[in-house]
Amino acid sequence: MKKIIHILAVFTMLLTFFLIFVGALIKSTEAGLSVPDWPTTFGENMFLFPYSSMVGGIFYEHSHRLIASIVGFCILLNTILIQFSNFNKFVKIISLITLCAVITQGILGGLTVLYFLPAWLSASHGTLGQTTFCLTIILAVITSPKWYKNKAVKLNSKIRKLSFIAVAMVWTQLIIGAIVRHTESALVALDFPKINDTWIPSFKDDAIEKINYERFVQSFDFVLNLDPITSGQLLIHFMHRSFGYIIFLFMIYYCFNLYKNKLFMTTPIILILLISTQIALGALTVLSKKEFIVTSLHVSNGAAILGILVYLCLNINKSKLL
Amino acid sequence: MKRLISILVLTTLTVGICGSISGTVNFDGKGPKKKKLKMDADPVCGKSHQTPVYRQDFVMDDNNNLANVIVYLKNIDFKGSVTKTQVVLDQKGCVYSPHVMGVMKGQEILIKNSDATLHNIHGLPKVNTEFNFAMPKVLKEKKMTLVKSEDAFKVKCDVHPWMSAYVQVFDHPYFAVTSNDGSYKIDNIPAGTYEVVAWQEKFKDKTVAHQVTVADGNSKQNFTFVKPSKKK
Repeated sequence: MKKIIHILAVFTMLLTFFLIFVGALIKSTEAGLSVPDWPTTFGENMFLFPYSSMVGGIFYEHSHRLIASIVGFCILLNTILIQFSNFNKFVKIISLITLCAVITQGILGGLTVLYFLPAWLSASHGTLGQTTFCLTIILAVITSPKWYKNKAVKLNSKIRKLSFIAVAMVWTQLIIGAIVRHTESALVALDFPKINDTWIPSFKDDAIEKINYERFVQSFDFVLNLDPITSGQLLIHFMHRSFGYIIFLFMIYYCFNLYKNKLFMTTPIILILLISTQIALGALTVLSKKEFIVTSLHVSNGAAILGILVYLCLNINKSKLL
Repeated sequence: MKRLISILVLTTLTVGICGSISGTVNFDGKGPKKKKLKMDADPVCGKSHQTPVYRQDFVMDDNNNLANVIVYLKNIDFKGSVTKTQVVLDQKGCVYSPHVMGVMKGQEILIKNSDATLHNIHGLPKVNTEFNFAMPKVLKEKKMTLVKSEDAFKVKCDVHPWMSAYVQVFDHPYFAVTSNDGSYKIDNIPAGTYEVVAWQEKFKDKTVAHQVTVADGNSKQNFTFVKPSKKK
């Protein structure tokens, strides 16, 4: 029974990660409202909607709904199995929280469609999606036989604190990223590493007016329609970029400390590689003017970083949890 | 008898003081490169055209005349009733026809789906209520009205991301959209001096406006959109 639960938890975790990528594709292709109704699809039962009609934006939106349904079913099934298993209370509570999260996430997804994607609702959907992914990672780890077999290493409080700060920082960056995405702030600057030819942008009205005029001129030769920007959009974009650099520096410090304590020798290398890739993908998102695969990879790579940090945090604090 | 005479006199006067405005809208500068629409996301769309289809956000002929420009009178007090004529927005070959249109508030809009594929009609007005509804293959027509006047807003299909149209809602009937040769004509305008505005999709809120005096007969007014220079 425990083995089935663990396998199902790992499968759910992997499928949730894929679901995040498909979700990112929806926003990247602006297909969020291609299916105008919910929970039905073009008036039909979503599970009976023909594959031949999954054209254009519907392919992304409807695939997302179908995969999300499978993820929801897996989480529901695993929660039931866990409640009837002899796993400890912690596992049972986490499984119930995961179930609540996925149900809320499903409702939020439906509401984003019915209310025409308001930024705050879409950003909440994005954030809760990644949080649910973290919960599926926790479940996959704490249902593993290895988790109970291997002894917990007692670590100093500094490492433990760092592990929590790392998760908090990336989670915060994820929220900022979701706001950038859903307030159309990703292309307020078309250059990198500078922002509209400056390192620190001015948010004054005359500076914004100047940027908007340049965008208006550029719009003539671009296929892309560059809408005027606001100082709020510029600020959130600037925050996302700046915080990304801060996170990069912090992660070097964190990984250095892990090495110093001879802990998790491979994971920190992967982490640094993923963060470097993430910065490169962020830059490419801007330079490619939101090429949809690049943008979606930026979102899912961010989820992978958060997932690894949650995994590290869980293992570092294992002695407290067992 | 007296009443009949006075009605006749009044009618003659009213008809007499109505005029029209006509002219052309053109572009000063080199227009952007024509871009082909990629319709491969839906095989039905791709197959419905024998020749390439180009983006419609900037349609200019060889003489620099601009199509799809809305020309309208601003701040005119109209006491008449809403026209009973229906306006049609068709989805044909996975493009909107017309690409730009004006309607009166309360005027009936007939949205047609002439394609053998499904669409969604997603309007992004700021004053009227946002709308998004499905038009499966089997639903060929749907009627709707917009109840408040507002500046041009985008209508798009999220299934086929290249599909977009613009609709402007007026509280009067004094507007026209330029044809392929850039010409327009607005009829039955009461005599007076008006601000006449031309709106083009790429220029958005950077409209071109002129004061025009309308008297008996036709008043000519041309509009020119100038390519923005890199230095303001």
